[in-house]
Amino acid sequence: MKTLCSKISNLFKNFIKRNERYRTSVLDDGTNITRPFSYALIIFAVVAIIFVYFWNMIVTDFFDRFGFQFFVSSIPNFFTIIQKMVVQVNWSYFDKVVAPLVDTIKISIIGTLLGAIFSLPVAILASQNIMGKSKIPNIIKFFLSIIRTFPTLVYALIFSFIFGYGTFIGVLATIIFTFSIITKMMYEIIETIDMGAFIAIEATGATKLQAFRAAVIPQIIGRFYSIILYNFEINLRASAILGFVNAGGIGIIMNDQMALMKYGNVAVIVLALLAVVIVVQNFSQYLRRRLT
Amino acid sequence: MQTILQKYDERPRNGLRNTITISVILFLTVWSADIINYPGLFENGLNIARNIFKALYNPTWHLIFSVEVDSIPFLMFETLGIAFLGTLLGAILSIPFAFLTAKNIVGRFNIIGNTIITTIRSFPFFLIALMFVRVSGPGPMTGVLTIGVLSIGMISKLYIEVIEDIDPGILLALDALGATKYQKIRYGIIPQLTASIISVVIYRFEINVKNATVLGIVGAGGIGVTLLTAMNAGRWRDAAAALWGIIIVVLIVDYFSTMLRKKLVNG
Amino acid sequence: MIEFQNVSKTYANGVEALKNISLKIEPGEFVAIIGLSGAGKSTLIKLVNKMIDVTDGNVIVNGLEIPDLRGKALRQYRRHVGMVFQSFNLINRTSVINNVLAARVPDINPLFSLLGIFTKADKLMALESLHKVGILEKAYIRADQLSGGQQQRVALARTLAQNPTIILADEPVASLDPITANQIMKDFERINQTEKITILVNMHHVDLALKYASRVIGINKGEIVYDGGTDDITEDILKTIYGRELTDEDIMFKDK
Repeated sequence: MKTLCSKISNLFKNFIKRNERYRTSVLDDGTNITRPFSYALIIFAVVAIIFVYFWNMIVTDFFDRFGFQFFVSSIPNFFTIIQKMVVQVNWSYFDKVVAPLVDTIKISIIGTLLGAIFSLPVAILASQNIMGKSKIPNIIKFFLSIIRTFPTLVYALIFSFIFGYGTFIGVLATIIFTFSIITKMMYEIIETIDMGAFIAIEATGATKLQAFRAAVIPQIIGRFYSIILYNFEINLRASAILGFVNAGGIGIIMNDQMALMKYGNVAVIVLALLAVVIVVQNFSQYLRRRLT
Repeated sequence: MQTILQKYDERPRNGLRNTITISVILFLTVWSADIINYPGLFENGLNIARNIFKALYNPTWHLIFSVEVDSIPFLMFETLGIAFLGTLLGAILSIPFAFLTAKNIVGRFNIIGNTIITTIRSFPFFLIALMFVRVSGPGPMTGVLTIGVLSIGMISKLYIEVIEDIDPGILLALDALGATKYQKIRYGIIPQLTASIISVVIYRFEINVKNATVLGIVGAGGIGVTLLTAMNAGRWRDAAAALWGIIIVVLIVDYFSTMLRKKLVNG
Repeated sequence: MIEFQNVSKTYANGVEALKNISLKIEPGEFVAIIGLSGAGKSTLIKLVNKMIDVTDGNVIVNGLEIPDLRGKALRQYRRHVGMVFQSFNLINRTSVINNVLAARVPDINPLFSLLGIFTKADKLMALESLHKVGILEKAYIRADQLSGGQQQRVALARTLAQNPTIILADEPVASLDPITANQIMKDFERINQTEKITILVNMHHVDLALKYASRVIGINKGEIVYDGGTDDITEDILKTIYGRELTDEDIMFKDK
């Protein structure tokens, strides 16, 4: 495999060399100057090919089956829905929104907090510079990369078959997702800090754990809190959708009302969610600026 | 000794602020804790869990290795396609949004654009998918449209940052040596933008791949459909195959995305 | 008392840093170790607090055999040995006093140290250490806002907070300008005389070493080529230590 790769890269290098003639020009005083090979064209070509392939696969196929006219005439449907939502806003529905919305918020809070708490110790164990020669960081990073491939909803879906419906699976899914993301972000940070202070404190007779607490934590804690807040925002938006797999929260009533085409109610749900998200976003921005 | 005691008295008292912060967090935690109401295992829950776990070791192999329309590879390609076209669509749709919200173009009115973009970002994305289903039916096309709209949030923010940061100095310098408008854009503006734009677009693509896998649950095509149907029918091995498909593709995309973005940062 | 008995150290990459070194340092001495970079000075110092292990031979400090120390015994031993680094190695994002308090961590309640809680006694002791190096006013300022010399003083205060019997210093003034370097060396001298702490300093600036230490150990290619008082050093001896004529790099105050 390796020889194949080097053969290909050699071919490539030869091509670039032979191409050099066309890219060289002579300046007034006789020196040759060669423009470096521009990958831009190749990259553009590759992307274009990929684009054509996918376009064919999805869009052309779609137009074949349903017809371009049909599509164009259906686009307004989207905006009609929005229009109905705006026009038929049904404020009296708000009472039914409060409880699920609160549930969604709670799921995000607990999910984020618990995910964060578990992530810090694991992040420490996953940092090569703290763990020295141990292979544990490699193992942890490998499992983390697999866990990270699934968004919250996939976990919620799987859990819904094991634990049944309700907010519990929503919380569990959020915890796992949050854990996977924060651990990665934290070990990336820990691996880039200055170890000097850590070594110095160890030399005073502290254990590794004490040295970590004294020398490393002050360097990372600000960013840790910032990351938690950032994840809280993400989880809030994800929690709103959990309802679609019956994992609790506002997604359930959203799904129901959409199915019933009661756009007025949907509008109220969206607005309530929007309000919460905006408040959380602004507050989070303010806090995160104070933390760094 | 006196000076030392004096200095001791000068110490910063963070006690109050720390207590308040901890109290707030504790309060929120306790308040939210009732959400964890363990409902016990579903009737067959433990069995199902065991089956799912076993299935991960023994997924439906022929689904993973064939290339027919229903197979995992095909569906993962479809998912990639949804993410790819969707990201592209988002990149295009974001342009007008960005121009209408950049401070150096619309000044104080950027609040309108900002609100619209935030609204789009906070719109639960399944809702958008459901709305598009009324336009293009269940299927990957809906996925493309949904992802397109979803990406507007992040990409327009990026465009705005880039637009607001354009260094006018370079444009002035180019003006001074008599460049045409086209030349100014080509040599003055574009080089400043390309690296960061491409980097963010790649990042967004990575996120969109994950989102696309999930859209199938609402019927917008991709591997999510298989996952959902298989699980609903109790075909755990098929579901496991779908999960493996997701793992492999996301890992590959992740790897390339990180590598490409690192290269972009380093020039 | 610090004793090296036939100590040799070869690194994993084959470099023979120390070859059969033997020496004795009495309590209360102020010893400077000089020589070229790579001669083995750093290795020698790091063997005293077991930051590195010996390949051969024995290091005995106050009756304890250092190479045998492990775990809790090692940590307890290290409490009494302070170390000052060329790059200061402070905790940049916290205040000066927190840096000094970090040295108290092994002595206090584990739960408190985890939560970052220190008693009044601890804080007073930290302040006193800062006072001893003349930097009390900066106690509550963030460590990275100080100048190089001030940061090194904080590092020195940190070691003092351990109540050490020995202080090791690995090129403590190499990153400092001549005036500050002089001040720090004066601080070492004062600590050596008032607190009666044994000081072992590693440095490549010959004039500073001769000015402040009472005893000089010259190392060349892993071997001790000179071990004696500062008064007896001649130019020829310096040439043996350095293997060449002295250059500007080896002298801090150029106009001597």
